Amino acid sequence: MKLLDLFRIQNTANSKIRLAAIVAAVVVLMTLPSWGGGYAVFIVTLMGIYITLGMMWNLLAGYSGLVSLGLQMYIGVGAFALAALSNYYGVPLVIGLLLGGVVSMVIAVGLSYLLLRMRGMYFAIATWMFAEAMVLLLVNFEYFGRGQGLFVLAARSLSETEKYYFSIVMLLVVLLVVVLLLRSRLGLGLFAIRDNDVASQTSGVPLFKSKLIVMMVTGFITGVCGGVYYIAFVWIQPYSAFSITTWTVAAVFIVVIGGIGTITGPIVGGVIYVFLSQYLSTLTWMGSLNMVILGVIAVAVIIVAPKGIVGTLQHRFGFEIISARRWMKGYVTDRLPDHI
Amino acid sequence: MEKILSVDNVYAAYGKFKVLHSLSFDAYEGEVLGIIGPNGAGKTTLMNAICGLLIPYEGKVIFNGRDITKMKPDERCRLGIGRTYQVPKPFDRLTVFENVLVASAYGTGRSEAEAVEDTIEVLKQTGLYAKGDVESHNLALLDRKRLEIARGLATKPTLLLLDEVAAGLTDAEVHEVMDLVEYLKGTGITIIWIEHVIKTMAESTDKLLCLAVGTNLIYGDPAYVMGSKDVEEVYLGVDDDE
Repeated sequence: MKLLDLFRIQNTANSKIRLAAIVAAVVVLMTLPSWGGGYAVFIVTLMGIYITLGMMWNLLAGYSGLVSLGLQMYIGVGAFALAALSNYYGVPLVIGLLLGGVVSMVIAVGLSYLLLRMRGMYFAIATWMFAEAMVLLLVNFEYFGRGQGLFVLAARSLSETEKYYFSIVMLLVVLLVVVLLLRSRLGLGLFAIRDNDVASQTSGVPLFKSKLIVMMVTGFITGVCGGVYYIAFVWIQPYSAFSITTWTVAAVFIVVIGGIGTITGPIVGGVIYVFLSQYLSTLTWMGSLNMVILGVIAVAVIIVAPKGIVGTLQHRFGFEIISARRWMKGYVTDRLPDHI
Repeated sequence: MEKILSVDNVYAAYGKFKVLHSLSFDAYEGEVLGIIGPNGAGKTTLMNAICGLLIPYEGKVIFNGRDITKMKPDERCRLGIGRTYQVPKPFDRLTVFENVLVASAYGTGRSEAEAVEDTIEVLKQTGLYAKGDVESHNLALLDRKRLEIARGLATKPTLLLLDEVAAGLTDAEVHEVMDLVEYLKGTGITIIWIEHVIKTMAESTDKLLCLAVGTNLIYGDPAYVMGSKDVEEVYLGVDDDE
């Protein structure tokens, strides 16, 4: 019952349809490998990873006002921690994933103390700088395979279906975590910080503590996400794992296209991104031009629909599929005038 | 009356730009202390030093006998210092209800569920109840000013700092805000109230403090302060050798 409350699912026809849709989506995702083709399984595996990544960037930029260009650091750290733990110490993959997340989270704590005093672009550039510094440091160690990187050896024997479940279970858990976080008191404080950090402090919101928690959450989850990606692709090439274009640019694209500051925006954006990048990569004559095309699409969306696809639809129809809004009308019985 | 706030020999600066120097005064429980002074006298800076957005480099701020000079703004808020801003700072993308809910939950250290009832009560008191579910970026200036007061009130302050609540409003709107201030006075909350336009506040304050170039020029009953030659000079720039 408590869980239903958190999802704002009430006992109305509309809510029942919504609940049924969510249950149906979960069932489809959990059973896909048994009826879908190999390519579908692969595509949805990628979607799970990129949607998770998009949700993390959205949590930082869209809900907490922290524009980061350094998410790739957590991807790389999570992946290398997983590979080292698994290859050298025989740690099982699931445990390695979680420990990789913990290592990323510890780094996020360190970064928070160093960087959270900065704002806006200064914070963004500093996060990017630390990610670049991290890969330059890491490739000096034989332990991490120097410039060659590492293989996640245990992942070679996994089937595509097993890789799929790593991705999809992560996606569903992260979606649940994000919704619960945004619906919690911490989420309310983050919205306030995002909209006006000065007024939020004088309203009693602890600025540093709130941002620290959100940095830790994104650090942990993005670290796990990096591990899941390299379980699927086995070989961790360091410059690619720590690449801003492979990861953070993708995350920004996903969130901008889907709708920044919306819960379902990264889902829509992630699906579009994976289809588009798969299609563009089949056009081999284009080479690296596909990045240009993604850029043009992002700019076009910003001009035509600055709120992104989901944001624009929500604005037009006044309807959110999954919402973090606290409506007063949910608490009072007398009828309020319909103006808005 | 008990002393609730003591500003003791405070010096404050933005970087190298020194704004307050050697400023001292006390505020007493339940009173309305008006602070007047020309542009650049340091009125808003003083508010920032009291609510914690600016830490003085010398001197002390004592609240209810406790030294809060270096305390963070959110801790001061939970101790009972609420404030409003001259240029309203609503949480744009949140509704009016959510704006006040933030202050009601965080300003008192309660859960959201515990804060809902008071939030609705404050919205009724400040005339914003009908607009509870409107996103605050859609509000006009008068309602933004109301929202500032609502948010300040929702933190359950014992000391409320009002920064030019009447600035920028039409005469009719000023009346509406003044009614709200009168209501606040009735609740027994100590109020420190800045206003640039002296006329609006002279009649409804217990004491007036006039600031000039970052220090206290004169303090006392409104009639005494308003009649002072010094006050006339800082506002009108009267020559010394008249």
